[in-house]
Amino acid sequence: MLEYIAKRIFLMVPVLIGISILVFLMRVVVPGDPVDIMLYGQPSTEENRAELRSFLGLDQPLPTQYFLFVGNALRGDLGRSIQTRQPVASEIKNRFPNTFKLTICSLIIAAFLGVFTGVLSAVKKDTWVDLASMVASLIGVSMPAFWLGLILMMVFSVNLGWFPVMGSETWKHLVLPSLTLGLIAAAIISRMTRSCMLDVLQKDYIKTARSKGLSERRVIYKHSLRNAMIPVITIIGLQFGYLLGGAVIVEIVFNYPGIGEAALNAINWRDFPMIQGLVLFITVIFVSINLAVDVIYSFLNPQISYD
Amino acid sequence: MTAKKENEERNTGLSVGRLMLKRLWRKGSARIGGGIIILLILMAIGAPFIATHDPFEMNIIGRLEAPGGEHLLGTDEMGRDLFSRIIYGSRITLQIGIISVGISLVAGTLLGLLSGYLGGTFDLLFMRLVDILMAFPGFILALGIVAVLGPSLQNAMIAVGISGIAGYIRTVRGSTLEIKQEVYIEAIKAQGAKNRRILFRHVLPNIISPVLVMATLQFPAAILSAAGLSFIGLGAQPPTPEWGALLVRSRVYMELAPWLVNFPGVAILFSVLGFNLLGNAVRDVFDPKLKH
Repeated sequence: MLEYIAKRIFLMVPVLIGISILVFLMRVVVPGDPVDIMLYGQPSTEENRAELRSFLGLDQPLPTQYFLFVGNALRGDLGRSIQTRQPVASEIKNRFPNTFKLTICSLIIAAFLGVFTGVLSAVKKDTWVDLASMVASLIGVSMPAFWLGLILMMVFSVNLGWFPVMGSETWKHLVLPSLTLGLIAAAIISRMTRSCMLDVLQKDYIKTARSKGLSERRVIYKHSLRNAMIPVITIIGLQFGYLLGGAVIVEIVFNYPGIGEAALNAINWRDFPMIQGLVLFITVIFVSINLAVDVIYSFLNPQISYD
Repeated sequence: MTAKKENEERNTGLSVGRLMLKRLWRKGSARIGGGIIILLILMAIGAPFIATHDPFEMNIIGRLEAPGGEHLLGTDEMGRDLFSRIIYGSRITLQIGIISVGISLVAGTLLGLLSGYLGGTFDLLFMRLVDILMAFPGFILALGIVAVLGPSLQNAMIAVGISGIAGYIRTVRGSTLEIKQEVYIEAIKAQGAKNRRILFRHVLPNIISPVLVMATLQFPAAILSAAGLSFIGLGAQPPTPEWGALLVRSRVYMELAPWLVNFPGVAILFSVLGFNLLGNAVRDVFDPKLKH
């Protein structure tokens, strides 16, 4: 088991190196001179430009620039933002807890709602409950997150006044953004849970359990759900990573000060150190979560061999 | 459908394409999804006849008029007719889907074929590159590409297209590896057929169904991503009546003009729903292994 985990971590190294190269190349492949782009519309002298160039390390050869970029990133230094002149890492440190809170709350909503409706749907297969739940989850996966956010905001903040429209000061600010992200992820989890439950319910050991005279409740919760949960947990784990990406748009809808909002600001300002830092950070987190999910999955599923 | 019925159908002498279409037609979700998509296509083609106003014509006096009367779905903050803007927006939505999916499909299929067929070191190295591309969350990759290319509808489509390529490469490569080992490919090779001919005449037709399934399922996702990029200002720019872009200013006028939020969102929801319904049915018919 430990060997398997070590192997997985070892295999992650080339992927991380590749990610860092691609993120580094973002600034290199931008059409035009990055200094021109960053100074767009602002008056500048040759001296300014040379200063900015050396501030960004652009006067060094490319391989040197790359190794500097990676070396600094490994030490937690992602450069300085062009817009605020503050270290990118400290901006991420300030904002990521907000995004993390949002992602965790959404995941909890999504997991509970998704598993509950998925199980219900499978147990009541081909009844109106199943149909309603399937239609709801189909609408959920077809709904643009930003639009659901706007609708929730319109109903619960503007019309009913239950929740604040935007910001992040209290727990109340977290409710609508988490619901927005959570409901959409719940739709995906629900569909997956339903199909896994249906598979398991057809298995012979469920028939055996029933023929032993066990109560339906016991058959479903003790025998079926436990086995159906193995792939479902993987989907829930993978959703965590996707929610991080989805949070970008929801944060913008609700003016929620997370890394998504920072990313949009940075793109509008063509603040490349910030963009690179954010993309690198989110992707490394995403890859690590996927690795963790894989390891947990192999731990839960006795059928997997570690060779 | 029972196996017996499937066999009977196979014996009627219908071509594989017609057979699949017949099976697809039997699925309720394919009929509903297909209906929505046909409606969307008609909307896009007939936009000049269906629209009641010029979608770009501003009228400051008639700002934020409620639905009903002269303006079926009301007007926006510039007095433009929302109904006409949504009708014309269907053209952009279809364009986004076709171009983004087209980029992913063509590039992904070609590269996947090549990687699987050539094999060896090239395949090994190339697949590591694909692993790296797949390590990025899809929307973040698209966001990064738009950051590099600059915000515009065209760049949003390119970004969504590029971020979908890796998935096709993996699927096509996998199927190519399987097909490559079939005896009939060996036989054609032994006859001295050129690589290009083997790839396009003999391998490609055999891997088309997973590609088709992927494309129909990617279509709605591409529409959602591009609308998302437009909504945050990185895709279609004003005054383009792209549906995501129509929602940008709606937040400001939410209290005064809720129709600006409702109608463009419903338009996106229904189109994506239509493609999802059809996509699920196509998957069930063409790729029964992936059912559920």
